[in-house]
Amino acid sequence: MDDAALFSVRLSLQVAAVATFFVAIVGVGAAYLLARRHFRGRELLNVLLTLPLVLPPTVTGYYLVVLFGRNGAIGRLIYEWTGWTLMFTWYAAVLASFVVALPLMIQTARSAIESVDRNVVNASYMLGHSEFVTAVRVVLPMARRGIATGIVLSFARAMGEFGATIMLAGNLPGKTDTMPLAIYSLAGSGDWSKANSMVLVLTIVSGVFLYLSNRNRKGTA
Amino acid sequence: MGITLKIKKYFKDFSLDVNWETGDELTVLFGYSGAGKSLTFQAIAGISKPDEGCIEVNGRVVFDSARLIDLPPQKRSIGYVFQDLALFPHMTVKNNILYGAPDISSTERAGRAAELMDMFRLAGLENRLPSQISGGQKQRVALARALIRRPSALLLDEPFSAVDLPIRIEMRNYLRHIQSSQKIPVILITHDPDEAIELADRMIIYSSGKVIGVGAPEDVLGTVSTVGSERAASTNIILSDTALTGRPVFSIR
Amino acid sequence: MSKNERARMKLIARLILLAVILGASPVFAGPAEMTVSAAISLKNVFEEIGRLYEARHEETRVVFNFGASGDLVRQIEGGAPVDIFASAAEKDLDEAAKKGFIIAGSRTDFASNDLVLIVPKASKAAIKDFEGLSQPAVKRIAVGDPGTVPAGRYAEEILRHYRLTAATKDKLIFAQNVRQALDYVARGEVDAGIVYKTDALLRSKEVKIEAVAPESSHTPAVIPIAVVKGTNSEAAAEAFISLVVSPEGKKILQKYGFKAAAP
Repeated sequence: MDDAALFSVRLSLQVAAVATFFVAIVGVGAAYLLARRHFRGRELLNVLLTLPLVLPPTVTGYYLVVLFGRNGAIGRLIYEWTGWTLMFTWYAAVLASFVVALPLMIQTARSAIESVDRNVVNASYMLGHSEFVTAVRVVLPMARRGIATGIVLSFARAMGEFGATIMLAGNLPGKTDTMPLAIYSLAGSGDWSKANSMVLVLTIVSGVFLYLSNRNRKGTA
Repeated sequence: MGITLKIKKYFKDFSLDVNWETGDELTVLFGYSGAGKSLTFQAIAGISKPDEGCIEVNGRVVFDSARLIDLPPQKRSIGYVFQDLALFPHMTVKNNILYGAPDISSTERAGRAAELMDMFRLAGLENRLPSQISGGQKQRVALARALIRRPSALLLDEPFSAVDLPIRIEMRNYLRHIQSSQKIPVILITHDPDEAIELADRMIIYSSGKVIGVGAPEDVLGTVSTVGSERAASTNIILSDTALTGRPVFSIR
Repeated sequence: MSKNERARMKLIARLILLAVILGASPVFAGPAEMTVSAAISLKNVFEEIGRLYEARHEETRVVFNFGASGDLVRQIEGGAPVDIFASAAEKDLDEAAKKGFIIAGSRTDFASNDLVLIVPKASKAAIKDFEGLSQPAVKRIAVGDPGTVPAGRYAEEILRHYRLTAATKDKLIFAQNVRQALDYVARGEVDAGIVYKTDALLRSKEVKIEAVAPESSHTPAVIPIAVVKGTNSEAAAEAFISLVVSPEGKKILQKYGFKAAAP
């Protein structure tokens, strides 16, 4: 592999790792709220956070461009304050992967949290523990397998993210071309042998992660 | 001291409307399943909110719909042993018990835990997970966990239904010991008439969301047979339930 | 929150953002960047021209963004930091211009593409020219969807030119983009296809070019380039476009099968 290919592999791992870090934090928090709290707009929030799972990623990417581009609602504020735009940076690739992978995390973590025995949670309350302490010391540890599966799936999804990433981060060789984008570029310019070897790398890395998540799910507590 | 309770809670096809009190004694809630016994416990514990009424535990109002008082479960200081025990599966025996006393210093907590583990013969099991100990041991852990914070009342929702008779007898002895040594109201839900008669200082009989008899076991069971025809029908249900379990038919003294 | 506090918060937020950005942009102090959004089909040509440009203008680093022309327009609309836009066909650049994202007068049609008739390399059917598409042995012909894909529209014009519209009506397979049509042919899923010559050349191992459509048979498939409004350096962008249309640029275009526009 040449330097450009190595860059793409490294960038993909970096983007997926950073995105997964935030996905884990935000996803577990959101999953907890959705699973255990009843508040107004809960289902609306659920739909909103799950949409990227079913929308074509390009459409998700388009929404992100509309929001975070220099002409977008959020992007304009950032630009006016700092003169900086998120688009075409590797942060944009992180954000795109984050948004697309988040629903996977939420869905897996939510069902894991929902399956925690209600009585066990009540037992913790009866023993004088606040909801926060109960969440951290009882609910989340008991849901850890589902959470771990969600993290691995999110990482694999982030690694393979293409549609939303190419919209928001662009396909800038040496800057934002993660593995899937590099494959697209190589195929687009007829560089089939390089494209194929990167397809192989991406498949193996993703396969290893899926294997890990599967093994993790089958394991016993 | 004791528990005074007068609550109503309405559902689509069921309503709970009960009113009773009990002192520092061992009380048995007895009745057909679905009669509202567990729901009453949940109301006392603060994990289910009655539609109206008030609940007093050891002189402290923990719930009063008229005065908008509704203490959260954390503040009610009630020991609760669930039917499925609800041990924390990811914590060792020792940590399960220690987790039960968040508000005291760690040295005192460790002292109490050692005392309880000694009392409930759990020494040597400290570092086991709940999945690695027997059913009887789990019950003793659940009791120790409920008692470490010295609750002002102890509620037990059929905790002994899933274990063999010898263990049940052992647990009954523990209960009597706890009640007499701690001097707190202990309330037990059970289906088992033998258990009820053997343990109860006072019996409260539930049927279809209502109390149909309160008093010493020997009195209550006599009263029940003389109340109105509708209620007598409910008693029949209890009796036939007992008959179905295959144990000696309930003897009314 | 008092006015003072709010001002302080704002300052802190700015400093944090600035720190994040500085920490993440190793090129901050290096040469100025110029971003060229170009259709993926122009990748080989533009990368070569870009190297040439950088060799002559050391103060500028050319950064490319290759994608589907439609997506590139969406990015520009959203406010992506783009200096130059080159689309695969007029349609997309027209759209960007109509919406006011293009500097008027900066547009140049710098090249055009031939449309070719291709068959799978292993094909045994004797399709030697466009007329050959009418024979019964030819069951399926891949073209871009004329409604959305410019190459599909050109293909439609070519078939009309050869009076094959009726004969091929039930044989056409519409692809989402011209690359997909090419892919169908390369995989032998269809008997023939009409695609851009430059794309067909990239898969010469799998497809065979049987005929080139004459210029008179379709609207010229011109490839436009223009400077995007909001560019940091209009001069640098103009210089890049000048290089594309220069004799050296033309040589590179021709090397990859494009027809350079007449001066």
